[in-house]
Amino acid sequence: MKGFGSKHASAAGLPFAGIPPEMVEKTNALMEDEPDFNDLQLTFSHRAGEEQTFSLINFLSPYKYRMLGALGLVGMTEALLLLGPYLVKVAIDDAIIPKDFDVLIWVAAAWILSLFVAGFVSGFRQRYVGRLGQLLMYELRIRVFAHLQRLSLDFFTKEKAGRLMARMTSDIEALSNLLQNGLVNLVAQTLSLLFIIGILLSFNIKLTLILLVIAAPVMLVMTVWFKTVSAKGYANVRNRIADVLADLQESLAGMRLVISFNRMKHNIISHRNRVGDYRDANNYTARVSATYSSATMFVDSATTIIILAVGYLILVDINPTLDPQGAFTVGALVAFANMVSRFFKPINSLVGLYNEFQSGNAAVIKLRELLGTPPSVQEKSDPIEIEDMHGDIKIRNVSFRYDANEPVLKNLSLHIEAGKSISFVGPTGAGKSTLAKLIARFYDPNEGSILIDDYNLKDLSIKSLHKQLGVVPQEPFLFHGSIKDNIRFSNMDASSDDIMQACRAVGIEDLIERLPQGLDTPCHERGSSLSSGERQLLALARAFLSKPRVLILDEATSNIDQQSESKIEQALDNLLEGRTAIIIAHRLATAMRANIIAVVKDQGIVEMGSHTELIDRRGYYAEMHKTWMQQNAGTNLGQQ
Amino acid sequence: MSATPLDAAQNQTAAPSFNFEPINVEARFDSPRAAIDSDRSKNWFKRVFPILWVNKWAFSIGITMTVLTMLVSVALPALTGQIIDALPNAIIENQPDHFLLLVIIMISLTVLRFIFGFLGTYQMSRVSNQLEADLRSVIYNHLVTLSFSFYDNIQTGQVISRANSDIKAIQMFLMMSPMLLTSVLSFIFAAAYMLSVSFTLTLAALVTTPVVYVLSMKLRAIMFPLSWLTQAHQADVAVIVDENINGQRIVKSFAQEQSQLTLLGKAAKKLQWVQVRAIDISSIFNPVIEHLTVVGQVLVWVYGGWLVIQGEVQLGALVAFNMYLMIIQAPFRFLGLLLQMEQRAKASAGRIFEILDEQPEITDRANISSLKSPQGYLEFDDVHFAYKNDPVLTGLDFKVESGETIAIVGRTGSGKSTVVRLLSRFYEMSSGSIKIDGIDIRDLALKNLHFHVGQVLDEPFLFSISIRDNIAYGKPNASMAEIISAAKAAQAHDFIKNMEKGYDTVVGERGYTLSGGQRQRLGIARALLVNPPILVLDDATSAIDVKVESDIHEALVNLMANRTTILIAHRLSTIGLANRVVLLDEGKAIATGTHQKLLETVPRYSEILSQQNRMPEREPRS
Repeated sequence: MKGFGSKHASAAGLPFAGIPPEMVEKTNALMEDEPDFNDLQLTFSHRAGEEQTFSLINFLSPYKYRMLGALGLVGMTEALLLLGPYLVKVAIDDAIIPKDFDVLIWVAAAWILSLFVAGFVSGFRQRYVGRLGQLLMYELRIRVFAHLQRLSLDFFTKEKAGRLMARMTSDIEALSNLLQNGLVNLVAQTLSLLFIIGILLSFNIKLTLILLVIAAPVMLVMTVWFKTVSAKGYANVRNRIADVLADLQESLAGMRLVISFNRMKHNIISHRNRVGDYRDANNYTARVSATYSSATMFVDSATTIIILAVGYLILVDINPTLDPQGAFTVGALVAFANMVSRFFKPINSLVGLYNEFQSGNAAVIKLRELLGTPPSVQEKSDPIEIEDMHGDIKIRNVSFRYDANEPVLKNLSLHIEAGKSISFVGPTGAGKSTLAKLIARFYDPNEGSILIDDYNLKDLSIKSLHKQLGVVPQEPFLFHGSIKDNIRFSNMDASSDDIMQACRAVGIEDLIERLPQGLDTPCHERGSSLSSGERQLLALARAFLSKPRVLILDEATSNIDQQSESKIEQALDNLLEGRTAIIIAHRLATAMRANIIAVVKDQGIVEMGSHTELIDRRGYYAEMHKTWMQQNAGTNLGQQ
Repeated sequence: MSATPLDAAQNQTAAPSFNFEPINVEARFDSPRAAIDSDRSKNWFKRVFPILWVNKWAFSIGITMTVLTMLVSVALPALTGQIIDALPNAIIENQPDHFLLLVIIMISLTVLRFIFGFLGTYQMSRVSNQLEADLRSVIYNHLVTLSFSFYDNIQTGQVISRANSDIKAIQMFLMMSPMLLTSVLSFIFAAAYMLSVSFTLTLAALVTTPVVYVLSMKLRAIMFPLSWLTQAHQADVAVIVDENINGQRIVKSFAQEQSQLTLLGKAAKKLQWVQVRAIDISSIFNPVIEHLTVVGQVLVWVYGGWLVIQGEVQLGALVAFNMYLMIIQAPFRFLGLLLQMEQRAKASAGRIFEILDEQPEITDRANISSLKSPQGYLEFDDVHFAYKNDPVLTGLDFKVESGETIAIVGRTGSGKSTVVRLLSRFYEMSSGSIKIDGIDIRDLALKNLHFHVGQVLDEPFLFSISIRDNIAYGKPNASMAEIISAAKAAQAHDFIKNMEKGYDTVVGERGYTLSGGQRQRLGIARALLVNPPILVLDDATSAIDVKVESDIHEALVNLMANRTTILIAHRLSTIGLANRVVLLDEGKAIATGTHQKLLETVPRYSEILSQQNRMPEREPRS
């Protein structure tokens, strides 16, 4: 199976899975022209600054004159476009019927000129409004993303990834649609409607009233019905197709189970049911659309017939001689009939715009909510930049709870000397990980304080703190890109030599050499082409490269196979050397590598000391150790 | 915790009939009535044609209605012209009969167009939706027949895009192409009317059309790659956002907020660039295309007006002429669109055929035997297997007695997992044989084989359905009591019970909301529920706490009593469960025997074990 030969690899989990091969050549040619924006350097601050509440008005206010200019251009285009039907009337009444060819030439010249000007103005308007819209979208993307970066870890655990994703993608798109099409169209269609009504009134008041009082409400009601019903219908179609694709995606990912559990028939039927529901949803919208499109055509033609018939009566009444200079003429009637469909167009568009405004407005509300969420860990306004940290950590009377839950830690104090390593052991959920997160200032304690080199963490600049801290979590997260990119993540300035040195330190040098593309090997979707142990080693290399003063290994050595484990333990010796380290370990073998072992239990530290000291104390740790030795001995004997 | 409730529950609901395929879903829709033509030498349209052909009657109705609509639509402007021309006579001469007749005809035609239009559009959409649904089912039905090796080499994202945008592309083309017929018909009628009014006027009217046509094609050709690039850049932005959300802890840990912001900035700039480029281009083309069409109208009014002044053409005919001008331009645009759609559909069909032409590597033999309730006596005889020219097994020999539990031990990469995958025929051995109760597994129906061999893989995949349905995956009609017993045996009941929705909790995508150990326990429960006579546990407890593992083992010991079990394990504690160990090295079983015996007599065994268990691991009781 061929891959999509594009520079853009498939985006993990996104429906768009690459450029089709037949398009690759042209897109690549296009990308030749594309600037790479390498000079772009954005600055990030943990403090949000003096940004106003996010609302459409505030967001647009820096561009108010440009917006007004754009709207002016829209008005001009609409007015120019309506000259056409008016000129037709003039042509019929003043040139064709009186048989005056000169006037006809003049009318044509005026029409051509108006088309030329209208074309120019509308081209300029499209470019102007379009570019402005894109600029606004760019700024909004940066603003929202920067705010996401500012928010604390608790926010990311609470909020579903998919919803945050929607803020940055579909919500911004909805807003972009509103700005680029919605506002422009609102003005354009309203003006157009007003102009048309004006022209129609100039032709004949009675006919215009018929149009406004009889035809327009019918069309309006129909369109409102259609938009409401079809919006629901399309939402249903989207949900149904999402079901179909999710089912397909899962079937593909879990196909080994499908095969081994003989679920093929079951799955075929249940997939077909989903496809069938999707088909039915499509049929529903098809019925609605077919009704609406035929009905609008019907109303359109029926109105034209009514206009012609009533026009006939009016002519009989006020201009029975059909004098071209009369109050109402054949020319006016023809022009009027021609205008009927033009009259309905803005009405339909305006109803459509209402939906766009609703989704735009919903997007604004959601974005406002996001941008208005303050990070729970805030940087002081005048933070201390800490350089060359020693890594002396003092925890003083710290208490912490997640939200309104039971406190995880209560009045805990601890001193970790610079350059020493400490292991946290204890039952699951005792707060080992939480303690490490507090030290990294991913959370702030509810009570008490944490000091590094005698500075309160809250007084430090978050950037300078994190720069000198390395955290390796349990699930090694790999970014889209090469192995090199992933290791270099912690230190963008690192040279290839530095990277190889980091690889050597954690013992993946041979792995890298074995790979045909070496360091440039791409890490696929969440690193699935590498084993979990290899991924964990990469994460360790990443931490090693940043040369942190304080290293936090949060269960970084669980969930890996035996071979990788022995490598990781060797790597640990390299990693721990000369730095403060906090190790949270599942395996006692790993925990024993630290200078001090602390048992975290019952909201605090219950035992602390070296391995031998704790064994001698015959407390919880000694108990753990005993069970563990016994189990080992037991299995050596075999059970059968 | 003992496993007896499980046995009890299973005895109660012992399978009434011999059913290999668990089906617990009601089919609400018919299966697709046609398939793709399997003859690869045919062109793409002929290969897809059968799917279109089964809908021929529905399709014919749709097309007839569409043609009728077109005929009525084409008549309307001429009628309007006649009504206008009838006006002076009706008013000045006061003879409204003809005028009224025309109005009545027009009203009837309008009503007819409404009916035909609705039926035509709706019927065509229905056929089109049926076509799409059939294509989807055909592809899915094929996908489930393919073997493990196919799934080793594909990216799911690609298959999904094939099953989505490519199906759409084919569907659109198949539905649009018959429209060419109506389009051509309306072109002929419109042209005939226009020519009947005046040949030169027709020429004047159409003078700008070729230019408009060329410009539209050119614009589309330029915009197409731009829109793909836009999508690609949108995806790039989305990937960065996705990674920063999921990898936020890493970003924060290494203080990379600024560099990530800059990274996003670049991606957003590129997106802005490509969109601005599209705007710039279309802001030049669009006004020209739009207004050139109107220029044709201006020409018609000037020249046509002159003709009216000369008395050669009537005013109403001129008005109608202008309406036909609109109709006649549509087929031109449509043809251009259709040509492009054909290209896309062809490419899309090619990609879909790639999947549909993929043959399942492993299939049932012609004459298959059937096993009803095997004893579970296994023989591996001189089994060879190579993975992508890399020999993995080179003459593997061993036997497993019925009801025995064996552990396969070997270094990483020694082929332990391969052995059990060959047993289920997930892959085909290159030579040698594997027998169950003396019957070669290749003589069994695959479904029969899979029914008797239950596999628990080390990375248990969970579906995003409820926990109950996940456990019941292999036996969807299992009772709640059975499910709970299986969960209890796998030590999963307690954590499930503590979840807010218990067994109804829907597992997050890929089961990421559960810990590795919890997922493994659900995986074990899933296999236990099926109660296969042969059970394979491929490193199935690697992420499970030692304490919990020993509880599971206790349950397993009870369960294993009446079945053959193969364990693949690194841990001594797991190996200790087995009656016998098979030591795998360099593609062969180099020794078998009890753990104790191998420790004493085979130095290689203790060597491999000590490599894997250098130090006692894992924290006990937590």
